[in-house]
Amino acid sequence: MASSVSNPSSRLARWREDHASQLSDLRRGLFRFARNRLSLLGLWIVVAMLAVAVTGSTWVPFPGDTLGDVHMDNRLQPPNATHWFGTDDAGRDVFTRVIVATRTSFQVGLIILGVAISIGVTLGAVAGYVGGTPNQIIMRLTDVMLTFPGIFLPMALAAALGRGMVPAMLALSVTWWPGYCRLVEAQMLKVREEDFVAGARAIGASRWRVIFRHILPNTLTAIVVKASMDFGFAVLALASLGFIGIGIQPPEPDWGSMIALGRRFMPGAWWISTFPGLFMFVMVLGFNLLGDGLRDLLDPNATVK
Amino acid sequence: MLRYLLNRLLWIPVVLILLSLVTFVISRLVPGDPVKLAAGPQARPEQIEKMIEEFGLDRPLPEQYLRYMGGLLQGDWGYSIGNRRAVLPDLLTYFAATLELTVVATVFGLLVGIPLAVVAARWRDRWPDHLSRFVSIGAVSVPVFWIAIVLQLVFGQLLQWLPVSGRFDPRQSYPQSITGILLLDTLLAGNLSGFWTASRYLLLPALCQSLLVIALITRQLRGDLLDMLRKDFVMVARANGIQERILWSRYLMKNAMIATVSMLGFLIGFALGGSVLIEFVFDWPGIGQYATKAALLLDFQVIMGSTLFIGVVVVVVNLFTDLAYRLVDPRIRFS
Amino acid sequence: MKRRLQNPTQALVADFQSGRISRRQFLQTLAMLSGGVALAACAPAAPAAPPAASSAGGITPQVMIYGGSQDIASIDPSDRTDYSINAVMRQMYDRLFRFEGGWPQPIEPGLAQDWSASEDAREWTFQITDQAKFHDGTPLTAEDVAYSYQRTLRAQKQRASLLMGYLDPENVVATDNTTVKMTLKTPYGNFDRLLAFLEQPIVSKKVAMDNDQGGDEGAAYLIDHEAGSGPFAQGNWQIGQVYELEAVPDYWQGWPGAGRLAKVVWRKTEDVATRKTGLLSGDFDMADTISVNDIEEINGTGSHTAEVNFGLLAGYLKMNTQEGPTADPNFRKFLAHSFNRQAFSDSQMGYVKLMTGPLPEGVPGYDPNLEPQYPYDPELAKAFLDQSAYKEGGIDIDFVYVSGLDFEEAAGLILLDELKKYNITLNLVPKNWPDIVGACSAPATGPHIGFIFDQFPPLADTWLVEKYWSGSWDRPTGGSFQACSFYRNADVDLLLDELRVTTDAARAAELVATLQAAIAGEAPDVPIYVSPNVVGYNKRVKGYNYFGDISVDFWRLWMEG
Repeated sequence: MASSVSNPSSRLARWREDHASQLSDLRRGLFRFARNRLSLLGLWIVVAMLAVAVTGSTWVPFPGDTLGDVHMDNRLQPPNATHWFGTDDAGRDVFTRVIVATRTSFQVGLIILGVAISIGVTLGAVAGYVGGTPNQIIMRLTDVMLTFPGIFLPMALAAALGRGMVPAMLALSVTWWPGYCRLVEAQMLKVREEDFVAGARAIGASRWRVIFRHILPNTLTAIVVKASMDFGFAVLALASLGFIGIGIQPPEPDWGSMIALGRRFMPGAWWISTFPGLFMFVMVLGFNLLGDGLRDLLDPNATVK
Repeated sequence: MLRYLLNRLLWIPVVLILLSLVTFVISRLVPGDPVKLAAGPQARPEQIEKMIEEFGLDRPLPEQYLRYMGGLLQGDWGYSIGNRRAVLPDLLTYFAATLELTVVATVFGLLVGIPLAVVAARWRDRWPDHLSRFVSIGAVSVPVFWIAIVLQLVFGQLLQWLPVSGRFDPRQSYPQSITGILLLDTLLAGNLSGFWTASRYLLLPALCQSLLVIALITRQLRGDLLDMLRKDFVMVARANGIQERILWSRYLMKNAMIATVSMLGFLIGFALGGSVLIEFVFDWPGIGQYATKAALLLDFQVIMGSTLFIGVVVVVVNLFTDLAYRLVDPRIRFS
Repeated sequence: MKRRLQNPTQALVADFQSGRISRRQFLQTLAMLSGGVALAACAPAAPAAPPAASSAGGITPQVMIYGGSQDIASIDPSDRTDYSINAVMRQMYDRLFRFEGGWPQPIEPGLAQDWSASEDAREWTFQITDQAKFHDGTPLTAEDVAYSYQRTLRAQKQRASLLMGYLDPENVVATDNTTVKMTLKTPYGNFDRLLAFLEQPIVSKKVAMDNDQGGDEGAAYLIDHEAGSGPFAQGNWQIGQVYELEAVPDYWQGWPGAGRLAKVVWRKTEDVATRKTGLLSGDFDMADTISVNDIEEINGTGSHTAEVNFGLLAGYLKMNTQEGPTADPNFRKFLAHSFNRQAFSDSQMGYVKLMTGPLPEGVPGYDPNLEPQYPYDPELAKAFLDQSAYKEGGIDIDFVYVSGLDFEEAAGLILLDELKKYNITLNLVPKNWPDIVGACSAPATGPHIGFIFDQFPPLADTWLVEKYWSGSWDRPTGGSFQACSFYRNADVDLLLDELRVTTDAARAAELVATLQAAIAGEAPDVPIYVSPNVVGYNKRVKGYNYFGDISVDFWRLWMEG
């Protein structure tokens, strides 16, 4: 019975042999990544933030303050031993709300990117591979989406879909895909002409097989790098929506609306805006440092000295 | 080249029509009643009916759309249902303020970004590179509306060095509008103290706006320079014993600057859209604020007008960017 | 039949005797009126001796920078009535009456030096001064007054809303150079007061006609240009950027204060924190809509004052009486008694005037001795809940409020906190204002609970009709947000119909009392509080007196050097 399965260790060895050059690239990249303190810093920030997001709601001092508790007799307290980041205008603990909002940000970032990448990659692959009229249609649509100024489109869309997290996420996803679409299309155009694709086609591989087995994996690197950077931007975009009053429904905490609220109490109660902003900055910085490091790691050009 | 240009030009109206369609549909999907809002709290039924008729809201949606677009073709950008102001003159007024902010922010960004990129590329993987990397990544990671508030707090309220809102000192007489760009207007009028005042009001918003430019310029230019360093001509030049200083100033920088200039258009288009939040925080009377307010008040003709206006600007800027890029980089063919 | 007092001085005395104004306000106003009335008594040809020639009295007119919270998008005298627009319109234009003398607002002569009504309160005659001049130098005549009303009635924009029920354009005529006659469609005893509060700006007919474009009666021109006769003329005016008013030194009504301003710069500053810091840093001399959280800080400076007053801006929790759990009166009373007013007051630093009944103080018919209607009382609340179908809870209710307004959100949070005890979930639903206006159109889309502010002229019939008359929402074009309780009670409707046309003051008072009790018994809304009006100013600014508006009357102000 054991003999029918080939020896796992020998299989591994053979795989290593087959992929020797990639592995050495990877090793070299990892080395570069580890040597780059900024990338490591980014990694650590992301890991720490992830931990906070997952466990935060279990250890925050005042979990009720994110669920609708109010303490009007304790409002606008400056930071102290009980309330590390002070309290807001409803007497709620800012520390608790900042921590719990981390989870929201992660969820939202993941969903926005998930949806946007699915749409963008599919359309981009079709446009890039098929070319011709479908390409023109898809790419012009992409142009239109990119023509919308700033957060104007997600804002209008979120307003149209109603208040709350789901509409805000949908609005952002729907406006986020064009970047991926362009990226994949450009990569496809490039990769399509390369030898190994031509070879695959020459031996009669089907169009979709070529796309999924040969072309997409080669664009994956670029997508991963872009996604890791975009995660931070998605968090920023959600907060921007919250800042102008479209976003998460209270009493659920969210960094953007906390900053907007605190602005009304500036400069006296500076803590309401300052801490959520600082947290958001650190988190986005973490993702961007990590993304930048990943680009160095995964971008084949960067590994060639 | 000509075929490419024609193709691009032909697509512009298509893109704009699509943009107008998307905007129209979304603006009609948003729940709310702009007519009741504009008619006022004590409006009588006949006033509401009159307004519905005036704006043609009783007609089928496709007809409403076609009527609006028909008006647009004749140069009629419509007017606000809220305050009945004509859209186009207001758009131009607010656009001037945004343009001023964007251009100054872009210049700032270049002044900081280019040196950062050069030192990063020159001393790759050494501390200047890390510093430049940290600055550019930090600049793009900071929530712009938050840093705007923090800057207001520090420079406006704690240190009291700079004004935190508006475009001009209310105690000085406001410059008469020539171009709508205060820095230009004051200079044209020979009003140096006015120029100084306008600059002080512009400083903080432009600083916030420039963060994005710094980040983009630094990363892009660093990459371009590194690409070039791998090129044959650099090898050859170095092999021939050229001085590093001359190599950088004569060849690398020249090429890199061309690439940067071709990126400018893209940057400006990008910044135009990104200025909304900054305009909000600094009460900068720009087009972003104008458009956002219209969106929040469901002022549909203003929403259409401002989206299309910004759309035209972005499309044109993109076109020029593309052309410039293709002229600069012969590798990209006009396919 | 009883007649309205025709002479402003008599009206003032009556106001004083009935306790509607304070002794101080009475004396102040009397002093002012004696100037006005004396003028009216003079032969029309007598030159105006500006009563306040004193304004030259040694105090150099200064420029005042005013931080206003709203933009001034249109100064068409027939269109919008936003507070910011009214604030500058009052300065650039004259009106028939003034009412900025104090709070509650005394009606004082403006262009109308005297006025009277027929016995049936349908024919109103106004004597117009011949002293007023437009800023272009042409004299203002009764024809301009009549034209201004006709223009508004023809345009049918915001400013026409309350007027249209009583007048058509042809009902307003100038019978000679100084007399305007209005013939009402239905009798209305308070018509002079209504006219005063609607403050129609009197525009130069000639300028409007000269700038007519395609029959718009000068609308395109007047949106950015004034053609008035008020104490201030339009200065540098650039939309979205700068709005300046320049004093007219020889203004026909003179200047009431010991000095006057030379110029007012309206500086639109939407952010509340920026208005406060601008005030304290000296960028502004005066600013409106200051946050209650900043009052102590401003007063603590010694150099600045934050003055708190309570006018007619009243906040209600309007409950949908037609749809959902709130259709049950017992459930509405449960909600009403569950709202912790004290906690809400705390959240506003105590700067609120909690309401005891549906009318705020200042509206005639307000009963200061009314027992507080819906005190916070968990036991009573529980009793009402037990009588409703939702004894066990387990339901969701929407609390709709304006996105970004922290005090409205605070009210929602307080109620949410309380309702958790009864296993009832309160969804806080912040919405854009146009969305709320749209939702309030019909019961099917109306929110369960909406936190909505009302403000009307201080006339009881307006307050009650707009909010509680079923015709205010049950009509083809849908309801206004003020009627967002969708209240229908046939008896109340009948009483309101009577109240609108009665010219008998005693009967009107009786009706208002009956209506308040009848409405309160069904709790269509929870009257919460009268919102504080906070104006901050540098102590160099003199002459500020609150008159019920968010903004100030620049005519009465002056500044020390």
